[in-house]
Amino acid sequence: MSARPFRARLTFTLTALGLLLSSNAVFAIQFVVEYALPRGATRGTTVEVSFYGKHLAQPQEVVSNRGGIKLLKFDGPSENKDKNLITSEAPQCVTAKLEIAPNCPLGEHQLSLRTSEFLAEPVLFFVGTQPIVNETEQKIGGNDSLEKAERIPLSCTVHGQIHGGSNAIDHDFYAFDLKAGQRLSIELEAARLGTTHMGGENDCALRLYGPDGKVIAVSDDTALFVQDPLITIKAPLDGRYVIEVTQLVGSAATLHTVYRLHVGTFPRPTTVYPLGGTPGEKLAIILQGDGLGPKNAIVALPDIKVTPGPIEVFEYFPEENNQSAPSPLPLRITAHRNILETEPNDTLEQAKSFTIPSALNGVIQKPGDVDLWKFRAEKDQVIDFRVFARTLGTPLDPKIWIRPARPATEDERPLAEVDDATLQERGYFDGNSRWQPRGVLDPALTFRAKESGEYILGIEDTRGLGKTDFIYRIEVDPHTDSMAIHPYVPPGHGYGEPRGVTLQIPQGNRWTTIFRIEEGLGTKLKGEIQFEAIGLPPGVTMVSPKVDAKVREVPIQFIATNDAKPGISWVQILARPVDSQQRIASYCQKAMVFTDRRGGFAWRPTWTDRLPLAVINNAPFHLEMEQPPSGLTRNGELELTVKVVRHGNWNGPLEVKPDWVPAGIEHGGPIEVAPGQTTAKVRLRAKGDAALATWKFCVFGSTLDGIPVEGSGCRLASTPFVDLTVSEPFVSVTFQRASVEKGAKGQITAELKQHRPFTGSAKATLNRLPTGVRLLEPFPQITSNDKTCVFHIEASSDALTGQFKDIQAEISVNEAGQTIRQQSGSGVLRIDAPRGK
Amino acid sequence: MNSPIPRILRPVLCSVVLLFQTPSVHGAPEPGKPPVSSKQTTSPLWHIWSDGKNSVEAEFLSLDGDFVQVRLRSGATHRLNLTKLQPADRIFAEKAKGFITQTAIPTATGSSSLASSTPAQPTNPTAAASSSTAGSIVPTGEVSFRRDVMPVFFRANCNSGGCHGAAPGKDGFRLSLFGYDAAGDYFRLTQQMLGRRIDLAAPEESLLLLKATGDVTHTGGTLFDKKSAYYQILLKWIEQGAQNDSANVAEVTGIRIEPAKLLFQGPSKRQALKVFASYSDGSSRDITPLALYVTNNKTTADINEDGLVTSGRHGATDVFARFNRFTIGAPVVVLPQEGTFEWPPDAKPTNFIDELVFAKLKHLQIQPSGIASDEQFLRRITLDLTGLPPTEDEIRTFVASIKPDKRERLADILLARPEYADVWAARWGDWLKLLGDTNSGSGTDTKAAVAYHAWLVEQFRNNVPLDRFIHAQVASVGSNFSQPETNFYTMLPAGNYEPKAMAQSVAQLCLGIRIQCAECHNHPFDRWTQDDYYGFVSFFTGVRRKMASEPREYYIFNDNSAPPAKHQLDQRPMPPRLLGGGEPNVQGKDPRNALADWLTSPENTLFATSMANRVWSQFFGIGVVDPIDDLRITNPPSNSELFEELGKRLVAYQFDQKRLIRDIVTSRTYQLSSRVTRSNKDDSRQFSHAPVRRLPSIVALDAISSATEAETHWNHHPDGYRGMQIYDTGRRYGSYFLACFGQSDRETSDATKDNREVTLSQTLHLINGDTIQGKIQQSQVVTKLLTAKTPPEQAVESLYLRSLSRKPSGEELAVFKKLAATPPTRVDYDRLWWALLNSTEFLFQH
Repeated sequence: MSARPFRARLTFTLTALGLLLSSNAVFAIQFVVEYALPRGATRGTTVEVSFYGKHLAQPQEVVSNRGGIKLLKFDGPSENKDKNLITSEAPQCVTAKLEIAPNCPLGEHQLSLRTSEFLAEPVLFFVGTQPIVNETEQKIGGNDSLEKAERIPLSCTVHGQIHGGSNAIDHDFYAFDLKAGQRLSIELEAARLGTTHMGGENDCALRLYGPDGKVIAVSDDTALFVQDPLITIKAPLDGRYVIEVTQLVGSAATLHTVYRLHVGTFPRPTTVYPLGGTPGEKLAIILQGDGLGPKNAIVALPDIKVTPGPIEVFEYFPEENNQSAPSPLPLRITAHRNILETEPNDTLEQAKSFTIPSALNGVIQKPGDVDLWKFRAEKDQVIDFRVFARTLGTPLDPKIWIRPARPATEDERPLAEVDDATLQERGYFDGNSRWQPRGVLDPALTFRAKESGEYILGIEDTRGLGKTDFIYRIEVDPHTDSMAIHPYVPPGHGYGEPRGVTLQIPQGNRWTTIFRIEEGLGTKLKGEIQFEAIGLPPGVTMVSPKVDAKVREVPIQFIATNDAKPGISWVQILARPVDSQQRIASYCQKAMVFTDRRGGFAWRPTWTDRLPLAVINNAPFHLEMEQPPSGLTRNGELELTVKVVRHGNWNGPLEVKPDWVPAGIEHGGPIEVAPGQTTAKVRLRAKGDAALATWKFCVFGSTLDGIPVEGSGCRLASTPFVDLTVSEPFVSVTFQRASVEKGAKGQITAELKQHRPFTGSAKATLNRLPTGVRLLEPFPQITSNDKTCVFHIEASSDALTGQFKDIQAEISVNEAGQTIRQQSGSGVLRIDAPRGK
Repeated sequence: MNSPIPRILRPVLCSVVLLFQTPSVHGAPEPGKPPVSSKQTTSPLWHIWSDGKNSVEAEFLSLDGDFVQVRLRSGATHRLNLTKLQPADRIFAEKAKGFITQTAIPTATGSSSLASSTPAQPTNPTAAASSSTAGSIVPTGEVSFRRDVMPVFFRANCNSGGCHGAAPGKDGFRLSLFGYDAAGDYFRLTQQMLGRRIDLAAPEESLLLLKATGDVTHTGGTLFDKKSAYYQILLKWIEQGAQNDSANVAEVTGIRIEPAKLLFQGPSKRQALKVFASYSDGSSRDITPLALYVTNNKTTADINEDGLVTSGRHGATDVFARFNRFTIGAPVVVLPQEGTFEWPPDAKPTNFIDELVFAKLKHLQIQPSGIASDEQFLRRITLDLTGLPPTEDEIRTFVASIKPDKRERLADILLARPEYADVWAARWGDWLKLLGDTNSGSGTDTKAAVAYHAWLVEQFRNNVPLDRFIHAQVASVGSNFSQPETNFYTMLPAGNYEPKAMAQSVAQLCLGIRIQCAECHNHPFDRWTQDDYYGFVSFFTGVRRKMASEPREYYIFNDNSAPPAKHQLDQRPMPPRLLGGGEPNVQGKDPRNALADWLTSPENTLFATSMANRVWSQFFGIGVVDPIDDLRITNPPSNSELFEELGKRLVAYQFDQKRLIRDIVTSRTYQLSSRVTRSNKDDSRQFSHAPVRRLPSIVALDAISSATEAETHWNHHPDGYRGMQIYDTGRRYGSYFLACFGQSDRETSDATKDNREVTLSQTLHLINGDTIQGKIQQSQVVTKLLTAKTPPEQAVESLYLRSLSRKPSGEELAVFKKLAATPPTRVDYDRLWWALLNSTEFLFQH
């Protein structure tokens, strides 16, 4: 038995991506690397992996987030000649020869490819132990029956594919020999591979035929792998067995997809009890679901030092006779001491007592089973309960409730009752409300005792079901506040895909990413928040403002020196309260969607606690922006000048736009800077309810050789931060009702309310006058002392009679050499027909 | 001419004694006499005797004109001429005409004599009856709002859906539909516009009366005049202060109709109905002038607003009276004018189905058609059981067989074919609204639909008993992937779960009844009340659906602590209540288990008969109750005995559908020819001949594909899938043919969604569209015949067998030879192919 070192795996949502998908995703989001083939390799071998995509010139590096994979050499880029072309968005191909170390971590890796100009989005890659056999079928029909089954060795991993087709569904049959009594385990990795970004339709099923040609077992979905199947049996007869891989009728039979089919005699338990232990513990466990039946075992848990976050798991690969299950069973390693249930525990008297903190472990054995636990809480004590069942792949859909430890009166509601949880409550801080990872079926609850006394914690299956593998673990802690930050692409900014997934700092330049601050279970943040970077490579620094705890979106800037070494690092950005007395657990998270569903209903996002940061070759430009001498007023406008400094001979067009604006501030969209031009004017406008605050603000520039709205293929850099202050307006205007006859002159009188003084006089004009009405010069000039202002107007003879609303005054104040324009008021003007005519 | 009167009666039919016990009016007993309970009232029985010693009893059936219809205890019916029967004393003297033309309801206590013109003259004829006076519907004492006034609104159609009973009311005044909310009506009438609708100071000036009599403009016109009893009731009520009823006012507990059955010989005969209401205080009352009347078939028997029935065409139907929330029916049989009926000697029953169908046909004096030919039978049963036409080989083999039981053997073979399960999965797919969707969030994802369909196929392939089939779905819990039967709760329009819609679907699917009317008011044509409705909805208020381990997967389960539905009128919680049954104790439990147990219990005749009727309808195009999911008092079975027996058999067979189907397809009734006779040409409900049915849309398309051996390709399905095998509707894949031929869109559970109508667009599509032309072009059948140098006679025969399941006649062959080249070319055969596939004979089952 082996246990992999503890590895944190965190999760969350690409909010902007979700929004994009949920609204009108009329274009396909494009990536530098769209997909890679093959999707996995064997430990201790070398393998050629092709990365398909575009902008792949000058490949530099391939890195796994978990290590153990070494690049030997690159080949390409060349034209994509993959005849099954999984997506047409991948015209190029780069092939990397990779060496998989003999001790390479098993299971899922994220491979990141860096070119001299880009860090591509990661792709999933799987490392196993069995030799690989490639399917030989070239087109549908090659191995589509029992008779035509391809011969494979008993222990191997088949790299196969389901050919697309509109008139037929591909069925792949593989034959191998078994002896009666031997264990046969078959596991399919298909949907989990995330063959293409966003592709989640790879829904395969398995059908196993015995030596007599009859179906012995079928598998489609499983509690452990959700959409991917597994079969594990004890062979009933000697002879030739055949496994069939196919997609379901009607699901997406036209899709071309790939899979990894593990066939062998390896152990394949599907659940483990208990579901966790303490660091360094030699945990006694019971494994269930394996073809040879339940088994007791001992697993040595790694001695981790760091308190794990709410979604971190230890991946335990069951092993027997040097054969390892291809996929792990997830376990929790926490400081909680394990308490195992003792049945019967269905009544008040039978409830097992525990103290806080504890990890409660039990099984909902049969339909209708309910497990009761007893604990004592003091008045106002706050306790966190987190259940782990579906999160760790057991079939239980848990529901918990808390009652006073006394017989309940009829119709007495529990003090608390929770079935499912939100992503945030489960600790998936980066996420979209449409996402449906199985973990949200597990409840999480912060309970505040209103009085001292004994309480009963009950757990049952929401559906009323139960079975011996309906295993759960409840972690009970004194409440701890928590928070997290994650890279974030604000809505309306397109996908901004590279900024959403990776940090790519051009040498000698700046890169800004918006981070979002999230509150954890039962947490209300207060005070000021500051930021910390862990793992920045030499030559890279972070610039981050302190923000009020109510602020949720923060731009954080990274600066690379000219001599910062190109390469990939894994960094953590953490938010901390400025007040060091506050005890708050803090997490960094990034979620990526490799297996999605139409409509943005991703079900298997991958969460990570470290962000890929690459130093890349410098962009062909950098941007400068001077600190504006004055800020924005509410309902006012401000124009900022961005200076484009072109490097060397580069004279291409680029686009400049604010990557992020504070709430209540609007901008005019991207501004194209044509070849030869060196400045761009960025206009900002504050709404009447914009927060009165000073923000760190910058603007992004992007070349136009990729897809600017997504960021894919474009070289990007940002300006330095400037301070952007939003303040009250100088003066506000209330109009008196006015009228004018057609063909005559008239006036509109405005009453002025002075908010703060300004020097000199300000020009006042009117906006939104009805057609045919014009403001007569000279325009009124107002000072800080004026109480009224009169606008002289004239209506032409062809002006339309009637009442016109929403006439607005514009006051232009000259402050510190900069003109500050503000709008105010909402006037009504009636246009009358000429009197007596 | 032979007299219809049996010999034994002829010399003695002289006296008719009427022994009546009619109800008291308003329960007011005559002085010195106890009130007569309506429960004691029985159908009038005429005692016919000769000498006071020997007597014969006969059931009174009807009076029409000068004739009285009676039925002896033996079951034989006879028609007696009563021309000279006259009321002999004061009892009947006043209402002599009424007695003759209406019903034999006595008008006063006493005795009477009737004279007959039959050969044997009555000797000392007497008739005796005891009764209280029928009297007026205007009460002599205090007028009750519920008992007296509400029925006027009902009778005058004031509270019908088209008038003030509409949900928003009419012209500013609203009454509850058919009077389900008396308290609300009282409020609106007396309080809503105080002093306007009811004028206590000047009752005759009340708007209520002025509108009803047309004295002021009334959109609904003049309803009655001031002399009418209706007016008098309303006026008297207002004069008495327009009082509300005390809490213990008697409620109507039921109604009764007399006579209970009607029999006519020939058209244009008349017979009046009498209707009585029973009340919760034990009283009863003649409410004939207050009831509303309807007929199910005007051409057989019409009924006017006074309850007078007029016979029409030969056949059977039902007439109904409605009062308060009750509806009651009386079957009507109209025999031919000429009494020359003879039962064909060879029409012998083979099983219980024939016995019951033939008994009804004899009663109605309808002759069944002859037996269908082997070719006709083979085509009919193969299409019904497999959804496909028989192949050439199957036809030749079957026709050539001389085994006497070859039809029974064929039934067994076809029932064992896998296509049988496909047919029933598709049928139930329609009824269960089985649709796939690509929107994961709706809970009706394709994967769930595929799993549900596979589950249905498995159920019918394994012949899972229908009670278990339904129980599994109604009480289902779990994942819509791994427990596909839970998709019973996911296949919903737009994916939205609504307890009311679910309750309605279950009642319709499992019991064949539609309770949706009772959501807003008591069912106007059936017995279901709002209490029944909301009690039934409460079985489904705890059902929960939530997204599970991935967005396509849903968990279905019950929240056992969920509150029950609330009554629409007063918001009171309605605990789960079985339709027509009790309230099971489901506190803290999933009530759907109790519901499923009750639904599928052998004692639940509604379930058994409804399921059996569903099965039956697949073989005759109509059910014994039709539509099959709309059983109600006003839509009774066309053959009650058959309907009930089918249910009993299904129970006796432990809900084994195949066994019941075997009974059906091996019955002579199923095997009758579709060629009608003079006697049964008007019959469409009594199964006297095989119905001519247009092939269901999917069967028609599969039949074309099968005959031409040209497959239809379905998106997301590999080649080789028949239309009958796809998991959702083919019309979702853009099949114009299926849409044109009325394939169900599966939006509701309504059994009539799979439309079998014949439309012009269907004909035009077959002639001009690409289906038949495309299949002929795609087909290799003719190519193979030409390649094999098949003689023209054999080639033509092959095309006939493939399409029409019979050989061509000599005349047909001659026509082909005349029109075709010698030897015939591919074009000639294709034209013949086209003509055959376009023929009515191909497109219809017969």
